[in-house]
Amino acid sequence: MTDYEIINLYNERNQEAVSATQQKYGAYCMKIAVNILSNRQDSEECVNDTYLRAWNSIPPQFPEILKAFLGKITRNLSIDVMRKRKSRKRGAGEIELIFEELEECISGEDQIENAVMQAEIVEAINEFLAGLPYEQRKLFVKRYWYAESLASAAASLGMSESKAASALFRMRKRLRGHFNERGISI
Amino acid sequence: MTGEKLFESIGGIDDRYIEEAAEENIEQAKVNNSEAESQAEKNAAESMNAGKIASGDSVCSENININIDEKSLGKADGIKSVMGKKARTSRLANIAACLVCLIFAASIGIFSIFENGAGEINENGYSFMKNGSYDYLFADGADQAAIMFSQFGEDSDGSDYKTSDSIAECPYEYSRSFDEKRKKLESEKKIPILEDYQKFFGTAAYLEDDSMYSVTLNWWSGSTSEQQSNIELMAAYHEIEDINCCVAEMRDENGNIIKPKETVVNGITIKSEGGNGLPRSLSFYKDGIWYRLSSADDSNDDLGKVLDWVWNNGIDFKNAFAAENGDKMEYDSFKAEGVEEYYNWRTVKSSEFYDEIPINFKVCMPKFNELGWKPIKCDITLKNGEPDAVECTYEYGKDQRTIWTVRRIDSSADELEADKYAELGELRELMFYGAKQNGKITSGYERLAKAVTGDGGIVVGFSIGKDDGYCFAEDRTEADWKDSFKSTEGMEVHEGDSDYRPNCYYYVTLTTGRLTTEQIWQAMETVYSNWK
Repeated sequence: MTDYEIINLYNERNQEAVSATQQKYGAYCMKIAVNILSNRQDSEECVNDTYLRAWNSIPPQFPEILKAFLGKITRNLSIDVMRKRKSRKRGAGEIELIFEELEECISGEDQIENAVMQAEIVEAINEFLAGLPYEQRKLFVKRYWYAESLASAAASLGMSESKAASALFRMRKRLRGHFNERGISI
Repeated sequence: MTGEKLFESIGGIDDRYIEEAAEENIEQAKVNNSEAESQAEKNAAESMNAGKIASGDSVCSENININIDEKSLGKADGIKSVMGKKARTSRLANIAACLVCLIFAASIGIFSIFENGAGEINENGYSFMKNGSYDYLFADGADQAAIMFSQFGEDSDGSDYKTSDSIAECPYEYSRSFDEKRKKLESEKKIPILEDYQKFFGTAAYLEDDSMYSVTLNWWSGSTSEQQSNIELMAAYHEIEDINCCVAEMRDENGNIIKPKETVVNGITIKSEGGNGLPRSLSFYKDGIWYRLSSADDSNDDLGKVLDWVWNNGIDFKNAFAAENGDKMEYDSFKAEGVEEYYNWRTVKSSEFYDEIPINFKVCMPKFNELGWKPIKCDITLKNGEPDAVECTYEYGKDQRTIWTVRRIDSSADELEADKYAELGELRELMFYGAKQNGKITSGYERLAKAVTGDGGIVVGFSIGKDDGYCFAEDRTEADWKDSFKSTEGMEVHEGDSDYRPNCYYYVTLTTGRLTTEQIWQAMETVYSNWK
């Protein structure tokens, strides 16, 4: 079933929309959740909540890219669950690593974070990504959006882990520079 | 802001980038998740039986003790047979037998500590495995040099982890690629020959004064990510911390930390970490250079080949991996007018887009205007200042884009790219083109005419020019060419001016599988017309 057809089912309030979504994107959403949570049970709950959120938001929303729309919901829900856990380090070494890596992009200066600042940050990240060659951008998104392990991200792009690690390091450095150029202190 | 907050912010990026980097195919994700679920269930069942689970929430929140069963170390018979084989090979290389025996005696000792039980690594990145009466966790690919062990409990504050220091500063000034120097390095005996490893990556990093910081060599085998294994050899003047992940301490049943095992060979201390079926490594200083040899999925036999070679030869920092011997890689990009993405890229008019592509690459690109495609952007990889690969993105339908990549492979390079792709699928010959200039055959270019499909894309390999404009013997006539290729189905000779760089082969790769086969061949026809 095409994305267009699935979205139409949502618009028609036809509950087959959920099963169609599950069939087509269930594994995809699960993968995102598992990467962040490293826990099957919690991940399943996030994915189920994703379907509910999608049901409640389409309409009025009409996602241009359904996969990304769903992926974002799952990702945000997974982050919420992760925060509610007692100890983040339990079984979540990879995500902790990712957070540590991203610390390198941060100048550490205090700044009030609000919706406007948040929008600026996202816009800056998009600009940064737009300026990357295709393979590098994929690697960055696989690591820092999909929270894939370095091994997995490197293998899927046909590069060695060391090459991927070096590339990511340089990208983090560039991102930090990009934030500075944009006058964004985070 | 924290790293976690930035991670959250990254969630808001453009949907196109998310889709671009998505799983190659959703079916594979289903398979991976299914395997992950099976393993998680198995792990949970074993844990329940062992009575070691404190909480049912998560495998990773359980109370676990670790031990290595010393009695399980070493499988003498199997290792002796490997030793015999190695000794024979090494004698052929004029290595002193006693030294070989010493090396492999040490290797035996080293590799035997890896035999603490094999485990399965699930898609989550963690696996729960029993070894005797002790349970432990390890991270998949988290660290090539170490296993992640941890002792968890309700009151654990995570202090069991020894976190590797993250990089505060880039420790080197610049790097050079040696990816395409494999054959040369092998022929000059600067790197070992690993015939079963199809891909090779080499990177050397240098300090500001151009002195060596490190050399990292990777050998990959297997054509798909599931089959791939990777041996890595890193060399430097000093130990380089493995910075890729957390490293937890190994503990025995009494909670005492188990230090990585050390073996001394000819006065040199070799530190070994990890286990069979797990990420593992050997590191040591020899002749003033620090080495780390690591792998997750490769056999001890293959690791032993590299170890043996390094032990007897070492890495030639000063000559083989000097900066001037490597390739400098840079990038340049532009986009078509009207494309809103790629904010800070230089923009060209759509009518000039095709001309902006470096000449020797654009002849391999489809004529998008004839196809009704909209040009989006072009990424150019420069090797030593010259275009080496060009990647053009076109939009051919609503939200449908295709990416065409043309790579330049020097005829002096290791091997033709098509050979590497041969394993992907069926080879089918297309046609042959020759070129004439001023009525005389000035260059012959054999289109290797091999089309293969694999990984959702299609590769057509063909060569352009050979040397000084002559592909064949000077006395070859057009008739000779036609005769010699008469037997090949679909063979034909086209005439045209040759204005292409010699000694280069160009390969076209489609990195998206969305186009139908018919669309692909339709696009290729416009490429072929470039030759007329």
